[in-house]
Amino acid sequence: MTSHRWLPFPDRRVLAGAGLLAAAAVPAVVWAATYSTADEAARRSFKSATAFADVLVAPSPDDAAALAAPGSPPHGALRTIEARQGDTVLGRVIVDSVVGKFELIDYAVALDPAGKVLAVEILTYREGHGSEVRMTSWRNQFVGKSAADPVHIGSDISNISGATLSCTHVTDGVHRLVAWAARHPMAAKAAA
Amino acid sequence: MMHRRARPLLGTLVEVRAQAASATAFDGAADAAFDAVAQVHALMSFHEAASDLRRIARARAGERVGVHPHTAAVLVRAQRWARASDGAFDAGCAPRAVAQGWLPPPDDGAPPGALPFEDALEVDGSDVIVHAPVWLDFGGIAKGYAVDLAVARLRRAGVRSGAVNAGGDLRVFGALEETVHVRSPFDASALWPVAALRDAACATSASGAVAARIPATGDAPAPRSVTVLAPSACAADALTKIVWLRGEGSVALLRRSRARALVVRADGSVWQS
Repeated sequence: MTSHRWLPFPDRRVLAGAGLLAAAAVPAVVWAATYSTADEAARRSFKSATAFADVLVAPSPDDAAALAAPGSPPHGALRTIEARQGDTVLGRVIVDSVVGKFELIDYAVALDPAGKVLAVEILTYREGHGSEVRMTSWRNQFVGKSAADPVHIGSDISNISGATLSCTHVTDGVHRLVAWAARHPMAAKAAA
Repeated sequence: MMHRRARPLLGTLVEVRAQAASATAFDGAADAAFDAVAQVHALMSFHEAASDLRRIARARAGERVGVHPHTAAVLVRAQRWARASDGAFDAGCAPRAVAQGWLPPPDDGAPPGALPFEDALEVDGSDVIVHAPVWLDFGGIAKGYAVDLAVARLRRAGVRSGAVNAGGDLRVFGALEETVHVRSPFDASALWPVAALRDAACATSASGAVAARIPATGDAPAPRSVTVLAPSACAADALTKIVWLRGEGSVALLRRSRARALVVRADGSVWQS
C-alpha cells in the first residue's frame, strides 16, 4: 500500500538563517556508494567468458595526454580486463575514474573487440565539497577503502533526492576510452 | 541481501537497489530495469535526432507519426498534467530551453508556433497526429516514467522490495518504509532527512534546468527547490514543475493526486502541503 509522509522538518527560521542550514542537515561531508567491483562488471558484460585476464596498459605519452580530462595531468596506467572464451577474445573492460565538481566516480566500460561499447557501469561514487574532490589528498584517502570504512560517513543514506547530478564527466571519459580502444584494437584470437 | 548497481543513463546516475536472494538473480532483474531506462532515454531524448520526440519535431501539420507505446504513454500523461494544471505543465517548452542554451538547437526547421502542445498533438493508439508542429521536451516527466518502468521490470523479475533512483527522481517499493534525504538547494553537500516513503515516489526539481523551462512569474520569492511525494515517480516528476509555477495554488491538484509538496524558497522560507 502506497504511503508517504514528511518527517519533522527544520523550523523555517532555522532555514532562513543560511549559516545554520548545514547544522540542520546530516553532516555528510562525504557520501559514497560502492556498487560493483571491476571483476563483477566484467563477468556481467561477458557472461559466456571462460577466462578473464588483468592487463595493465602503460599508455604512450600521446595516449596518456589524449586519455586525460582537459586540463588534467597525463593519464596513468590503464587497468583493463580481457575476456576470453577458449582462445577467442570476447572483448575487454577498461576501468577508469573521473573527477567532477562534487564527485569522484570510478566506472568500467565494456567494449567488444571492435571497440563498440557494450555497457558502462558505475563502480564507486563519492561525493564531497567541490574543492575536496579536486584535491589529490582527499582522493587518496579512498585508495583501498571499502564502503565499510568509517570515512564513508554517509554510506547508510540510501535515497537522495535533489539537484540532479550530472554524469557528463563519465560520458566524456567513456568517449576518451572508446577513442583509445579504437587506436588499440584487440586481436580476435588470444596469444598463446 | 540488499544489492546495488548504477549506470550513467538519462544524463544522470541511475541506481537500482533490490533485495534479492542471489547476486545472479539481482543481476538479471537489474539488467531488465536498466534496459527499460535506456529504452526510454533513446525514445525520448531531445538530443538524439532519431528519437520519437525529434521525429515529432520534424513532422509537418497534418502528419501522423508512429511512435513507441512508451512515447505515446508519456505524451498522454503529459497532456493530462497540462490540462489538470491549466497549462502550468508544458512539455512543449523545448524552444524556450533551446533559446536559453539548456538544449542543443535541433536541425528540425524553424521553432514551432505558440499552440499549446496538448492541443497541437493528438495521441491515436501508437500514432501521434500532429495538428501543428511542436518541439517536445519530456525533461519534466520522462525520468519519472522511466523509474516507474524500471520498478515494474524489477517486480516482474520477482524482486519484492527495492528502489530505483534516477538522479533524484526515485521510487521505493516493498514492505519497508524508507527515509528520503533531500539535497539542500543552498549547499549540495548538505542532506536533509525529509520524508518517509512506503511503495511511493519522490522527485525534486531545483533551480537551473527548471528555471530555464518555466517562465518567471509574479511576486512570491522564487522557489529554489520543490520536492513532491506521490504514488508514482511519473506523477512526482510532473508535479514538481507544476508546484514550481503554481506554488500554494496547486494544493487541490496535489490532494487529488494523493501527493504532497515541499517548497524551499530563495529566502530560506519553506512551504509544505
